[in-house]
Amino acid sequence: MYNKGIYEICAGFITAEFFNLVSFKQVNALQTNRTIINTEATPVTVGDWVGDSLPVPVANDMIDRKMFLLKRNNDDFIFFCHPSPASDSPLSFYNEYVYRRNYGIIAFKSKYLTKAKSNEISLSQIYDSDEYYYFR
Amino acid sequence: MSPAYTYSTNFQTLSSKDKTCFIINAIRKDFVTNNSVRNLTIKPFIIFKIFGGKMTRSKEKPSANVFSLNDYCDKSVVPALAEDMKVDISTLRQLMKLPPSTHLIA
Repeated sequence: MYNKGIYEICAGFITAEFFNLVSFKQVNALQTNRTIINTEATPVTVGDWVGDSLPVPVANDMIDRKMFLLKRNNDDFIFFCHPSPASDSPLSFYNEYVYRRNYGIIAFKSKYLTKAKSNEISLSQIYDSDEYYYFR
Repeated sequence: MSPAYTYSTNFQTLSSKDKTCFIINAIRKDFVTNNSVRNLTIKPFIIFKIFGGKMTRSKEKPSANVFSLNDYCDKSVVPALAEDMKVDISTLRQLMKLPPSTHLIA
């Protein structure tokens, strides 16, 4: 990054994620997708937890590939997304993001989930790992 | 051409694993468009997570094998956004008011 006459060079293992900031009133919590950060989303009701930390929203349809709002604290919004079972990636991560209004993502939590032998992820088959990456 | 993105950087050093991570938000603040179907205002952004990273600062221009974040954003986010919005690249180019010469990966 070139910043005020100074080159800032970051080195390390890099991942990039794409989002679209969109604000609209939802008809229901499923009116979203994997990339949407919706500051007008209704916080989803959590009906269950997998292990100690993975929320399972009360929804009548697919919950993977969907970004849900877990809770809001003033200008900070916590969104979460379960991994897609159809992903070709060998890595599957449950992700939480803290979005701060007018700033961007300020924190995240990712949890690696190993897939069942069928190569599908169902919430009853998730094997927790201890690998958390949690920054704030 | 002025940078299409503005950047904000969080330097994160706290974690249970004593690892370091940088979060860089690349937000295209000058690009707001409407999805014609739902009349929604959409603002795309990218975050970069840099694990185990370190940052150095220099007044000297880095070598050619260091990629520019701005170039990466411009070349990558447009096709991704086009896919997400279900519009073709040329339409998106018009929406974004990009000149024809702007290099896009289509």
